[in-house]
Amino acid sequence: MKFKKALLISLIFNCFFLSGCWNYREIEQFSIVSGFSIDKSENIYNLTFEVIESAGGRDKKTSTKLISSEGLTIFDAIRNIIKYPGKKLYFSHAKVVIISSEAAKEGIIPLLDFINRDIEPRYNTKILISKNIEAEKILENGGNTEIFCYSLDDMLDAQKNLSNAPKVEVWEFIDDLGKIGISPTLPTITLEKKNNKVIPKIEGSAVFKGDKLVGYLNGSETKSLLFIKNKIKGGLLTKKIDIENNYANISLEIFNNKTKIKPKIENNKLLIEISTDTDVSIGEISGNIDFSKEEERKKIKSYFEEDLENQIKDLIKKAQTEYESDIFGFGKVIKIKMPSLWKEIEPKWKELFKTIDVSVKSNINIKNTAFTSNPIKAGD
Amino acid sequence: MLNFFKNKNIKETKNIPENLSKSLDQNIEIFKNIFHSDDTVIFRSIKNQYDTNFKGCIIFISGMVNIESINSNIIEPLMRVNLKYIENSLVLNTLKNKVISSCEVFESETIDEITISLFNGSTILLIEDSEKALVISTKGYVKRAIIEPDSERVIRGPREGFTEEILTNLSLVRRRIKTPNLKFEFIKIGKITKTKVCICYIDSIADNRIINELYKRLNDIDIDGILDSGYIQEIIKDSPFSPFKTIGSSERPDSITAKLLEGRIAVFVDGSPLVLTLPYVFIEYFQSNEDYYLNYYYASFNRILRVFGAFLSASVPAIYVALMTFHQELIPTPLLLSIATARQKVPFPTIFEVLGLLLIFEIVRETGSRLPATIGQTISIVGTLVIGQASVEARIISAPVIIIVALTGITELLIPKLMSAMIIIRFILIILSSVLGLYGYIFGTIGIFIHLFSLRSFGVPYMLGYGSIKPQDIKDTFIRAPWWYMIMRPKLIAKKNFIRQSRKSEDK
Repeated sequence: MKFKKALLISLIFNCFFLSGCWNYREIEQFSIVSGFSIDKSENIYNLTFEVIESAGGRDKKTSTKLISSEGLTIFDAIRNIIKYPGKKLYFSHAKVVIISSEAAKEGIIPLLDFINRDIEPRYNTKILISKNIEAEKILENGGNTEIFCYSLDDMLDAQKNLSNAPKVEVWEFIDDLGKIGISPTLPTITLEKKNNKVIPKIEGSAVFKGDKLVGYLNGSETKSLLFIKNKIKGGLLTKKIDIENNYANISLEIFNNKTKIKPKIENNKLLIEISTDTDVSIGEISGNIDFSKEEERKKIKSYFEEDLENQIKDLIKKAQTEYESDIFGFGKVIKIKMPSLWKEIEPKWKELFKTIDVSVKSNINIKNTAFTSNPIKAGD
Repeated sequence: MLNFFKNKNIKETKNIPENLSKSLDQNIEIFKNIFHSDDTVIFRSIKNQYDTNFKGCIIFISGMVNIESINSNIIEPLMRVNLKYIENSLVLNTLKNKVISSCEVFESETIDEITISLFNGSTILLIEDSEKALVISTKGYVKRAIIEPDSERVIRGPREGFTEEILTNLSLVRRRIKTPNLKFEFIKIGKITKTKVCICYIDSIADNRIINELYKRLNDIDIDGILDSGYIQEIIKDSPFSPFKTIGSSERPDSITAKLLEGRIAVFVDGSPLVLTLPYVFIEYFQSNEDYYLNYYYASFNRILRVFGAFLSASVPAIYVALMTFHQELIPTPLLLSIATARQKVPFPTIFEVLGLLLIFEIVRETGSRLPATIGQTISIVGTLVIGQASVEARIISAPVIIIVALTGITELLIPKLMSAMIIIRFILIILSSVLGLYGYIFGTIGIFIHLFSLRSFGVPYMLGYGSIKPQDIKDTFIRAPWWYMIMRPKLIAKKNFIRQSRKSEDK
């Protein structure tokens, strides 16, 4: 009886003390990393961290500083920080990782292993590729925002109103990377000179084949990509339109979009049917087209539909011929919809993708005209 | 020293016989002996105008009696009424039946009984040639008025509160329940104080087994004195080491009446305005008598607030410590940054900050509750200004901890009855979460719930109604259902008669 009691008590206490990682640490013992960049030169990783420094006192301020470090692995570089003055780094609140395109060209898996493996970094950290520039430089030109990496995070969130860059989190990227039948893409960031100042700009996306970066898409191509991937949540469709010699620049605001991809066998050939169904409103008409007429609206509609179809087709062609990378996930769709066929074609999918036929059908529904029903008219 | 006391005791008991004797002088001598060195006991000898042979003496304790009543109802008739032609053996009887005008008079010969009657405010009449004495009720001591109890204030509802006088208290309940089924049974507890204790229940509703169990426990009490119902509450409680109450108490007659109607049993203790009720279940902590008088939406909202307040009061500091020292990744980034800023250059670790400040809060609370109201202001100034503002500005304590402790303190005062248990639970949870983080907090919470579910109050599960999804079982728990829906009494408490209303009222 006594022995049983002692056993029970020791078992209960084991629950407490053998339960994995835990540690008592105070907030002020470490520096919070808001984001970091990874560069690679000759097998040595060069990391730059943006670290939040909070100063107490009457006027409480948060500022940031950059710390750089080198190492043979990313973890090595992180630990090497301890050599320099400063506190231990804390990664749970890092929101952005910027990876230089040069490093990504050599393969991105080694760079993400630490984020995937260690407990501190989060899976929902967002990844950016610095296009043709060292990632470190982006952080250095952060401008005058309070915490630069957090503003990058906000910028990526706001992209849903522009749809010029995808928002990709680590778990999503790793997920796509591992799957056959889809290649991942990442948003790109560059530096742009504006008003004599160099400021960072997020636009376009980087295309991967396997884990290697093979090319880029610009902003409008990225929008088409998002259309195909059914990831459009907002943004504009803008086009110059000419109806009976009335010219106008029209912007349609996207409210809702649904894209369906359907693999099909036609004449013994695999055909992929893409149909988009977009709800829009007329956001702006800078010209004199009377959109209150049904006929005119139909014309606007057909112009935009045709334009969207062409853009999507162009992008698919580009991906097929130039990058040879299935960034749209056609393979994934075939696997779900036609599993038996997929088993057959899976080994030669990479080759097959290059020649696959795609048909695109776009449908745009102009739901409303926002606050006005008639265009502004000049009387005299 | 011990020997000395022993000898004295033996000597005293030797001198006192059990019954009265025939001689008046001897009898007076006996009582003078019993009450030696007690000058509050008054001996007044009386003679009759007509009968010179008549010799009598009245004994009473000044301060316990109504002097006017003694003067006009005992002394005056004894002196003025003609006793000359009455046979000696019949004198006592005549006095009792024809002379003394008092509603409660009885004869007694045992000295013990007479002595206790004296303590209850009776007057004793001894006469020559009689082995019996008359015990005349002349109770009349100063009582406190019936006022609204400070501890249980209400906005709507009766304003009466119990006093220290047990008979007044019983009358307050009796006035509300007009049925012969309402029973009051007296017993005496306390070897020296001989305190009157009254067990009150409604015969047709209350469970006999609970009453029997209560009697058994009360009869087992062997203590020198009972000064407040708190003594009994603690002595007869189930799970004596638990910080939770398993016997309730209230100062309000309307609360007690409501509990009696639910089949509970009330225990009145002379000298205590707090009346005990049992069985007591956990949810009664969160019930207030006002809930039943106000609109049921509002009452339910208030009750949910109290439950939420209890959760906050127990958990907020523990969760804060766990998040701040173990799970920084769980804190939203902006909040983390502002707390990190506030914690810069604060010398103490979070756990000591929280524990220290909570201790200071409890000190301020305890100081305030014992002080005269006029000094109370000083305490609040010292508490808020010095400890609150100055310590943050001096960077001894970080501002978020002040907020946490203030929140804990306010929510603690939301349910004053739960305060004593809450303090213990809170400190246990804080210590656990400072050692193991949220993991420890969750273990602590589970432990507390296991304890709560294992408790019983007089055979009734303490967490009555918690596991149930039947509307009639949870009608009066986290919500207060409308009165027309309260068809049944709590089934496990009022076992034999749990229909409160006929079904008709439900159809409305």
